[in-house]
Amino acid sequence: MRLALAALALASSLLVGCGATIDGVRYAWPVESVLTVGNNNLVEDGRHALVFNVGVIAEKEFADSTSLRGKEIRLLRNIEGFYFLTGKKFKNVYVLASGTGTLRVKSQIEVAPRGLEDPALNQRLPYVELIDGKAVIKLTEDDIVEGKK
Amino acid sequence: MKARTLAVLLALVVAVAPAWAQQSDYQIKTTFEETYKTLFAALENATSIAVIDSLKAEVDTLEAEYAPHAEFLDKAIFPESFMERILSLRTMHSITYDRAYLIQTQGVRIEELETKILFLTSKLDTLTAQRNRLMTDLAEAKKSNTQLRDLVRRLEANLAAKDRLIFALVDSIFLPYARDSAAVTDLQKEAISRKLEKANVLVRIEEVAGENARFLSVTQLQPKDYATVVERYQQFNGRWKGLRDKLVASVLAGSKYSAAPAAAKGGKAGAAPLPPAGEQPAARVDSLLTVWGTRLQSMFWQAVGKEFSDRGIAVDPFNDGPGFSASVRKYIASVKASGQNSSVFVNDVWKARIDKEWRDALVKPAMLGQAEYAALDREVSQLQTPTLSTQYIVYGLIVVLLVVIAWWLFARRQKAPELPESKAGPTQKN
Repeated sequence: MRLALAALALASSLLVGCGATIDGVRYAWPVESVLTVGNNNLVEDGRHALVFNVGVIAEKEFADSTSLRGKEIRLLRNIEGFYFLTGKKFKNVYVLASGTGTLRVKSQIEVAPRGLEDPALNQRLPYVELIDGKAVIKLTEDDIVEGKK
Repeated sequence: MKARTLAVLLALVVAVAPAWAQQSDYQIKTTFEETYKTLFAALENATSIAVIDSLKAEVDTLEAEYAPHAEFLDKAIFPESFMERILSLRTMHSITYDRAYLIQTQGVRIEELETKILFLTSKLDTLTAQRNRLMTDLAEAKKSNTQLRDLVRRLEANLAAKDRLIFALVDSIFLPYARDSAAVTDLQKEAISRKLEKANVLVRIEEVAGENARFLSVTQLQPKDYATVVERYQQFNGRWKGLRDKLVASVLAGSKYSAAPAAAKGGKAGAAPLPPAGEQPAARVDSLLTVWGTRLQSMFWQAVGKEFSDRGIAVDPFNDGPGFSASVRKYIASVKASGQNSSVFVNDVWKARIDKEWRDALVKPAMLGQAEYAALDREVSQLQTPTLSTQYIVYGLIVVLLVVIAWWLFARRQKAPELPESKAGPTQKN
């Protein structure tokens, strides 16, 4: 009986371990990465060992999956772990959620109806700050919380 | 210099001035990094105290301007930090300042020596070109004996000049630091290393040693030439042995095989790895000197041996000083034992050739040495049969003649007629 109880306790603790969650993880990058899109539509961030294809973003933003080739994009990860992606002439900031071998467009936040001129992303906890000339917009992964389009 | 200062200032202005625009963290990071790199390179290459002072002011400005971003930069430039970067600039400033101070305090002397080094280097190059022409002429061998002798003499003079110049060059490089080698700082070692590398010293020494070795194989030397050639080998060998370790250590001080400078630059100190054999000109010089020495010994003793064999004197073959002594002594002993005529050996070989033509080279310590030569010369002299020379006969006859004349004169005096007591005529009696 005792042996059975001990086995049950061990099994339950193992099960609890597998599904355990670590809270309070801070994913925030201190500074954005400015990445050049290669001819294969890939961007490679050596500092963070991150590689992905921006064809989907280019298609959504410019209706042409190849339009970002040779251009620079700006990428910043916020504290929750969402990636904020934008660039020159972008009208939107794309928020990407990472999955198992995937990046999903979580939200598309319109920030400049005429397109951004010289954007930059700053980490301003708990927000991500988008600056473009004099304009300053504070963003969460869902929307604008401060500043104007 | 002005352009660089302007670039640094512009970078600082771009980073901190646009109050009218919002600041991009990325811009701050990249501008800081660019300014740091520009300043570091400028400090590394600065040569005057004035420039270094102005760069120090720029480092101060950089630190002051970016201090408010220190926390951000610590994260953005991780694993380094803002203060580490500033400290690294200040360390470089201090190193460069020491170097510039050394250069300025010894300025005139170093300037003179630098000019001398340049002159010597160019002179060496000229001599190399001249040597090449002479070697080609010699190889063609289409000239008369007199012309060939002249060529060999010029080539010898050329090589001797190169030997002198290469070591004068080395002296000029070491002279400003000519103190106890242990007291030479890493910075000074690096300076020496740079100069040695710039003047290509080790390769030049290797070249000179090689040329001398090659010279022996393409020329037919006369007995009297050997004294100069042996002397040159001894001098070169001595200078090289004296300088070898110092030169190698100095060259390594500025190379990738030195652990000390890497440690000074923030690298991890450790045992310096040795360069591969192919990258060790010192070892190649050693080997060329061995070739040069061996070739010289071999040619020298063969030529000396030929003096005996050409005149039908059968001595045991020899290829060095002790061998020569043993052969000559053995021959003397055999002549003494057999009682055979030794006049060819004594007069034609030893006196007319060895003592007259080879003596100067034989007395060199690397060959036979003064004492050993004198000892052999005495032994050979004892072999000579005492003969009455014509000169002595003439001297003897003169002496005898003088004695006879003197005796005759003396005898005549002795026999001088006695004066008559009275000169009376016949007595006439009445």
